[in-house]
Amino acid sequence: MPRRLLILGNSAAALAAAGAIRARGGGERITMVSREPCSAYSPVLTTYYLRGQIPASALYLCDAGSYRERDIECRFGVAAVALDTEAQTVLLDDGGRLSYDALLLATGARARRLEGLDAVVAAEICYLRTIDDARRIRERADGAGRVVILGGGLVSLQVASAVAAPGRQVTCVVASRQVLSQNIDAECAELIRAHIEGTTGIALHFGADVTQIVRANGGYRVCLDSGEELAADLLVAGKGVVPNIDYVDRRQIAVERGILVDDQLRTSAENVYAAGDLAQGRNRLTGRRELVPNWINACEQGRIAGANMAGAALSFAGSVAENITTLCGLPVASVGVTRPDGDNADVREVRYRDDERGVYRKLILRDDRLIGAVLLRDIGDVGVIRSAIVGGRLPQGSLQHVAAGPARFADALVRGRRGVA
Amino acid sequence: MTQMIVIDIGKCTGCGTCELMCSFRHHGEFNPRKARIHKTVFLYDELAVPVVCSQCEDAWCERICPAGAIAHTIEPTSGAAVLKVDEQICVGCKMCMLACPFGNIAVGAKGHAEKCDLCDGDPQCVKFCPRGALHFADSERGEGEKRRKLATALAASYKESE
Ligand SMILES: Cc1cc2nc3c(=O)[nH]c(=O)nc-3n(C[C@H](O)[C@H](O)[C@H](O)COP(=O)(O)OP(=O)(O)OC[C@H]3O[C@@H](n4cnc5c(N)ncnc54)[C@H](O)[C@@H]3O)c2cc1C
Repeated sequence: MPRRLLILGNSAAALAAAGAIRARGGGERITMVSREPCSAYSPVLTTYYLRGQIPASALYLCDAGSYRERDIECRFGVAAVALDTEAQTVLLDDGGRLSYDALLLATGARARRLEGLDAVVAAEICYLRTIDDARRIRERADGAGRVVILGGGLVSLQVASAVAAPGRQVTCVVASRQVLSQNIDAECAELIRAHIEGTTGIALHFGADVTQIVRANGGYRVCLDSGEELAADLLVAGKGVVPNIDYVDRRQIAVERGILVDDQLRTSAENVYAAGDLAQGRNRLTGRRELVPNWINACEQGRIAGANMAGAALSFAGSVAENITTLCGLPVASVGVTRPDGDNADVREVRYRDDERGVYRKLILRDDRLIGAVLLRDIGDVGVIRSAIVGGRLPQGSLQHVAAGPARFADALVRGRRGVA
Repeated sequence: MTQMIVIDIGKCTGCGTCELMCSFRHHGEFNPRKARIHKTVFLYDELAVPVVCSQCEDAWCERICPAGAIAHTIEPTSGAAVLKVDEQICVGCKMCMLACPFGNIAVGAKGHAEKCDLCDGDPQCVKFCPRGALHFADSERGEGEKRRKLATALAASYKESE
């Protein structure tokens, strides 16, 4: 009997795991279970679909043939509802039960729902995570003259930029004092705000919390704690994500904010692994176990978890919090620790700013090791900088060169070594 | 037999012809900023290193592309393995730029990722290198040699200050 490997989820982490298992050629039986009935698609691309840049069909990463080729048994359109790590079984919402020799939890995360709202209104608020979410927003955006977006993070700003159109008023209500408060520093955020407001009609409200949303004139009235009120035809909220781990019994598996994993991506339960947006593993730069919900991390963790389920002993080097995007035409990248907390005595920042070209670049160091970077507009060397952050490299002296960019990173390093910088 | 671009670091003078020919081939203009090969000149070491996509077998960009737009293909005339960006599928999200540790892929003005595509089996950088520092050679011989040279150069450039 071949070993039975069960994968819950059908996205970045799950696909990478299945690929890694097959790459080892061990002939295991692979079953994938997914709540959504469709083949795997990329949530990352949903805003490009919203914008009308690509058709819905372009979101898919696989078709039925892709699973057949890899000899993967698909149970799509059913959700896991209870995991029993003692019996090594997973109960599904169609009543079925699957047993496993090794299990991967890769059910990702969902959009955090707004709380404390009238139930009717709450049910009408749109979120963006799944392909269905994207379709729903697109349908409702049709003919919506006023769109109010609750949130100022990456997803919120991408949605704002995607739905912005002549004749449509788009407003973001941001609870914090800046955009992208999870990703970048206030100075960079201010440059992004100025760019967005200066080049598009999108309006941003900061330090504003929603106290109430009521239906009014066929649309909604959004009441803010400042006393201000905004009229809307479409409401979209982007308030971060929460891991999909409702089927996990916390007495059986150690959970904090997500499922705790070690460097082999093993959970506290025997033969159970976890990868992707639900996994709380070691952050390479902070050393702490954190949720790092991004695509690259999900791919990498999935690959390692998959190989290990199939008998390898690979170690994960740790997650890197990072993101790269283009907001209303402006490229922005953040890598590693960009908002150092705690005792900052040993943290140093090297900043470069060129307002004429709209460039802002910041390097963050601790004990003279590069631990983070924020790059605006001039981002061509982001991969090289990332690799230096991950590798903990960088001599002193050359930092001004690197911060000033562009590209010639290696050049700067060597010049730095020679004491020129 | 598969061929790849092999770099002979000792011979490169940093003249930049490779960059110009690359940008001309792909963009019809001589603009090193649009090139997919880049030379780095280490003035104080009297060393110049051209850096171009090594068409990694297990490539970061390919692994993480959230659109599945990057894939290995075999270039028909030369039989070379080349990592190609499908411009129809790529949306220009830039995640590959984050992933490539060598900075050898970038999203260009047309809104999709651009990287070395070996010019359909006739790499212009190789063809026009006035010093013969670039070769399009068999991987058996080339790969090891190229890896070793590139690794040495990179190791040197990343060395901590002494
Ligand atoms: C609009 C948007 C833009 C984004 N942009 C970026 C970006 O630019 N860069 C970046 O790095 N990341 C981005 N992300 C984040 C990225 O999409 C996620 O980090 C990534 O998808 C996580 O993959 P995952 O495999 O952990 O799970 P998910 O993609 O969350 O998928 C979860 C899977 O599990 C299934 N599932 C859920 N619950 C159950 C259950 N109970 N039983 C069975 N199956 C279940 C789902 O159907 C799905 O197949 C973006 C996300 C969104 C929504």
